[in-house]
Amino acid sequence: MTAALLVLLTALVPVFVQTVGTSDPWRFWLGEGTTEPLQVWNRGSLDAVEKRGVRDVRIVGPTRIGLISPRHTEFRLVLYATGSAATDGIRLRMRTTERDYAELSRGGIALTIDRSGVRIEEGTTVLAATDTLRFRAGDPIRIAIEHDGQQTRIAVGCSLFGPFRTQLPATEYTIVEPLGDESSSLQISDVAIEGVRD
Amino acid sequence: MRATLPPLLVVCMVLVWQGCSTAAFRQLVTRTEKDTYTHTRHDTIRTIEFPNAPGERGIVYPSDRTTKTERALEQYDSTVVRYYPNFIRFGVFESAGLLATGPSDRAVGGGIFGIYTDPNESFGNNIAPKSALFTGSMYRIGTIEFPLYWFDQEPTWSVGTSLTEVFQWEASNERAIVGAFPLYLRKRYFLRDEIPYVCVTGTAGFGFLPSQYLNMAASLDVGSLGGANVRVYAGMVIGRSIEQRSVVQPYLGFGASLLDFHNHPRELRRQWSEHEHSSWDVGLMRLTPFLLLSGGDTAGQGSSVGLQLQLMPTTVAFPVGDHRITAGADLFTFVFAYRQQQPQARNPGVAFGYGVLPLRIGYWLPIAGGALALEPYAMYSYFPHSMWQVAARLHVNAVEWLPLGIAIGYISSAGFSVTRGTIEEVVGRNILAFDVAYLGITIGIAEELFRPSQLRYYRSDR
Repeated sequence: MTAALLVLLTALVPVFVQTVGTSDPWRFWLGEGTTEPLQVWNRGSLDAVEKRGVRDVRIVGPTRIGLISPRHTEFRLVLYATGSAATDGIRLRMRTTERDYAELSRGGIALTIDRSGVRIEEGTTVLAATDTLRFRAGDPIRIAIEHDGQQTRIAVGCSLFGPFRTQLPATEYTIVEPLGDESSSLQISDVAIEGVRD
Repeated sequence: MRATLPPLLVVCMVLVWQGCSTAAFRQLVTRTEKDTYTHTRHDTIRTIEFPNAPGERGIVYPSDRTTKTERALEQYDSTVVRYYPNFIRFGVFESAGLLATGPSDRAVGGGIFGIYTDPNESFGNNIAPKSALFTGSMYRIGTIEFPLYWFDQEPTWSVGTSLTEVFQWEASNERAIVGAFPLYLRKRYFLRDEIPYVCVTGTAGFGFLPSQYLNMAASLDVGSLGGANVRVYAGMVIGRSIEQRSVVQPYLGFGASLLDFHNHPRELRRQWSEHEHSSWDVGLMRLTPFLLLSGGDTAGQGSSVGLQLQLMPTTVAFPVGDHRITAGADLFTFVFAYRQQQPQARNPGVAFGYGVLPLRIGYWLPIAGGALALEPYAMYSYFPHSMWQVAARLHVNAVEWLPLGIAIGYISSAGFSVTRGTIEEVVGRNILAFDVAYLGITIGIAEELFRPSQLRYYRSDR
């Protein structure tokens, strides 16, 4: 019995080492078990991003996450964002990748919703802006995005923006950045995605 | 036709093995990231048609206009794949000489690094007790460590294992500790953040078979530089030996390792293509079959063909001048020059040389951007006997991890004698001194030549 246990332990060591050693705690999945799972890539500290439910994630402090649709670059994405009192807003970056943004400063199309209104920008060009829709602490904001070919449509609540025509390639990424200081927190809930063409 | 089949088969098998091992090794030590971009060049075609209305219609008559809009996508995906190292440490061989691990007259006698063993006992397990300062040895083969994020987010913690590790405290197996796939946790404190790294490493290891033991240790590690490291160890092993005797053994030792690569945590986020290399050449094995040009057995009628085998050859760019001066070492070097052909002799001699950690110094001249390299060098082997070599080698980066080359050189060996052991069984007892000139071809097995652009000294982003 002891010998069998020792053999088992010895055999399990390489499996354990490879499994633990190659796991990536900065990535996890939303909607796993569904036909359209979405990968979350935490780009901050481990405790800054927490999975709260099958489709919910909470972000604390000024960090960012990448929502990655592994099967689609052209997709419809919807989510609800709810911020705390210390949160100033939310920024979504589309048609870029984490590496392009972090290392090459390619910000893609940026949707910023803060306490002064909504702005949609591509580089230094403002595509749309309004001050009638504002970020309010505790109020969930519904954000929907559609990337279809060269066109991007954005809906904030019931207000539609676009379609915007862009030369930027469609990517698998939607980068979510809470705006605020270390005490801010942002709840992203009911995240859902579907491909445009299937 | 039949005569060519076996060599072709061997070549095919080597290539298949090389391909499979290269792919498997890459998969083990590499993390892959992929970004996909969908480019849409044309997504709407709008055709506007103005059909001419029949007859005379006057100036303000509204004309027909037909607008036909077709959604016709012209799309293509581009994919960017990036490869990153995903290991903290990958080591092929590590050894250490241990101090005061047993009575001084029952020592293994492996010297400071634990591998300078008596040629009568090299590559065998029949070790006679002897009087020596370094009484014990430690060997570790096939070590891999991956980052562990349980305790902090910078992977200064690691989890790893080895194919095998051996603690030989004295010249007997009674208290020897042997572990297959021991589980190791390590924590590194970096004292120097630049290559070669200097760090203090805390270690806790558990072995289950064939010995059951706990190894608690700390080490001062310097390296890696082209996969070469030196270490100072202090630790304690508690457990049962392979002969199931209780062992509580503190130890202190000095070690060295080759083909033992370390990554600083920040290097895990640096692509392989941007990785910093310090060597012109590292490899698992290099074979040099050669034709004797002079100095062979003049009395014999046999073929004048010899062989040099280098295990873990490493050629590090020396950090002076243009970094083409090199310093290198092998774990072992074997030279078989010729077998003495004397029909009347009862015990014909063998011109054979064998070196442990022989040292090389040379010059590396890259040609055609590093696809070829000319390396004149001198090698000196000081243990277990004196042997030196001057040679020039032209390397060709033929197949990935399988470079070929041509070598011409001169080897002088003082010879040595053995009375027993593996060398006596395989080579013979009567080992001759020899001086030979040779012309050979070199075949690197799992060997990689680096181009100037890959060396950290030549990188523009330093």
